[in-house]
Amino acid sequence: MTAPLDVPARLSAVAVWDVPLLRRAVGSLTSVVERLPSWRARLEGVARSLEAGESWSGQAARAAVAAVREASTVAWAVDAALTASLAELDRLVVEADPAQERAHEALALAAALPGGPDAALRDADRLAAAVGALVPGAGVLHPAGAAAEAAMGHASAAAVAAEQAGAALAAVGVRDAFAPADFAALAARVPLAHPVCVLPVPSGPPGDVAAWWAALPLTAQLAVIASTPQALGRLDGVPAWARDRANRLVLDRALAHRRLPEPEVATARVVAARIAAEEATGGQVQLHLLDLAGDRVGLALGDLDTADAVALVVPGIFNTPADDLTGLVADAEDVGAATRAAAPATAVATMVWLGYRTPSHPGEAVVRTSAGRGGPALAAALDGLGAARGAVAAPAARTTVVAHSYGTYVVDEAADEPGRLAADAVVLLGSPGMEDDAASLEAPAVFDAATPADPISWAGWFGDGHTWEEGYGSTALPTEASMGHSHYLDPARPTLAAIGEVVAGRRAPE
Amino acid sequence: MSTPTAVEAVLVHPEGVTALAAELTVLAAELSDDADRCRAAAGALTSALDGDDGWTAGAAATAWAGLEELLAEQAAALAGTLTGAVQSYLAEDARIARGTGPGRSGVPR
Repeated sequence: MTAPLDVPARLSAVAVWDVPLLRRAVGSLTSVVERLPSWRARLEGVARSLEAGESWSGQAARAAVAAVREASTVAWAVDAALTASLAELDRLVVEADPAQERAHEALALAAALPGGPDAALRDADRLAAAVGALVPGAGVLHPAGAAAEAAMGHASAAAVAAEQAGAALAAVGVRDAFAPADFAALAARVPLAHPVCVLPVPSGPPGDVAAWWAALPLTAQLAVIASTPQALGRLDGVPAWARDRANRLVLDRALAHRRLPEPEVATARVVAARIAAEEATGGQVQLHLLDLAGDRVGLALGDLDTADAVALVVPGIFNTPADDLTGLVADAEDVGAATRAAAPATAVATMVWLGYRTPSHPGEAVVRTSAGRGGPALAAALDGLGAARGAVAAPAARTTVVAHSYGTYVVDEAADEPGRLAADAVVLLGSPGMEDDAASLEAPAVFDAATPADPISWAGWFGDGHTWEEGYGSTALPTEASMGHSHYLDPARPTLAAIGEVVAGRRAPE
Repeated sequence: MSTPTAVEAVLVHPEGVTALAAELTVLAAELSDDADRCRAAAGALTSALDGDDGWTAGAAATAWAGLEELLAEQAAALAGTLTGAVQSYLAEDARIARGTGPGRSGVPR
């Protein structure tokens, strides 16, 4: 039998709740939950490093990989349970505020009734009767009764939320507020060995994709990579390590596939050779994009997921993965070296971004068609890099777009996409003209390099915005008068070192 | 009877494995700190809400602390496993080296 509710006592208790303290406590728990995805991502990074076998291989190493993966999966389950619990605690906070407010009101109003609050609010029925007897008009509740009723309703909802905050933890073995006795008991509550349902790869903005990916346990992530590598490997918002793994599967299959068109096979061979060559020197390579049919490749030197500074090198016309990847990778290496020279402690990742099919003949070079396709792709790629980190609360990288020639116009088109261009700096090299001014690129800092000896920078094909004119609004990087259109990334020229400073964040715009 | 399998290559770079162990140690420490925050929050919840409601909410936060602590302990245990593995490999290497020097008849047991 439920004991009769002592309304005055309950209202008095609610009236002295310390709601600010409650809010701070839940805020502290919120920050704990917010850190867990990042923690799990780093733990999975350890698992991937072990799995790569570069530091440790053999039977014991494999067992260690399995153990770290198990910990990651358990962490995922704990994260999910805490998130559900936190939702209830948030609800508790939401209910506590009006509960206390209305309790104060009810007690103050009831104090003025005959007999005082105790007599007026002894229990819900008597409260209604007392108020009803005193107030003319049947069915009209006295303000004291209305306030008490509202306060009790909110307090009851708060109590339910507090209960549910604990109940939400049952999925990970919490019973009567006690966590499992040890990690083994906790792991026993998590379906580590259950079959993994391969989820369909979503479409949507990079932020949604990143949130979807971050919410998957590691086992499901690996299953998605294995089952749908082609779709996942080009999905902006997925972290670089996963895209790399997926794209390498696509690459392996392309190399083993005898019926692919020869151009695609040629591109696959070049990409594979480039990766092998870079890795043979001990460098980290990430195949961020591999679209053989679309002739699009993104190849990164360094770790796009963890680097402090990220630079995307966007080339201009007549560049194809099959013919030019090696030279472009050398450019990206030079940008990386210049960045490290400017800031030796900075972890750098530079990516050759051939995420659009560049104009392949002069007629295409002076029209917007290629840039019209490349701009949205570049904007999404930048959004994806940021979103992948944001979803696991990892620190954002300083991101710079280093665009050359027609590539500068791709940046122009990217900035026209909805939302801010997700770049901290843009470097425009030998631009054949921009539509508007530097501010229209939406980046906090815009730099340019152009020389009298570079006829393309005088062309003005895509607008009156000559980047070298003061009115354009960019900050000029150092050049030499004799530098031609292809000299901006030449290590013997002064511009490259300045680009390194921009990428490292050591060169301020004027 | 077990089926013979091909001998598997074993590779250990002590520095690399030690670095991973260090990362696990950091992860363990971070979560242990968060477990402390959960315990502090549990106390605050109990104080903030009078009676059963406070106890119930505080108990949930205490369970949070327990779960975080279990994960922290496991990360620390994994760090210890990796560190121990490196030490074992190095010790075994030293032991083999002692038995294979000039004039030695074989690997000491």
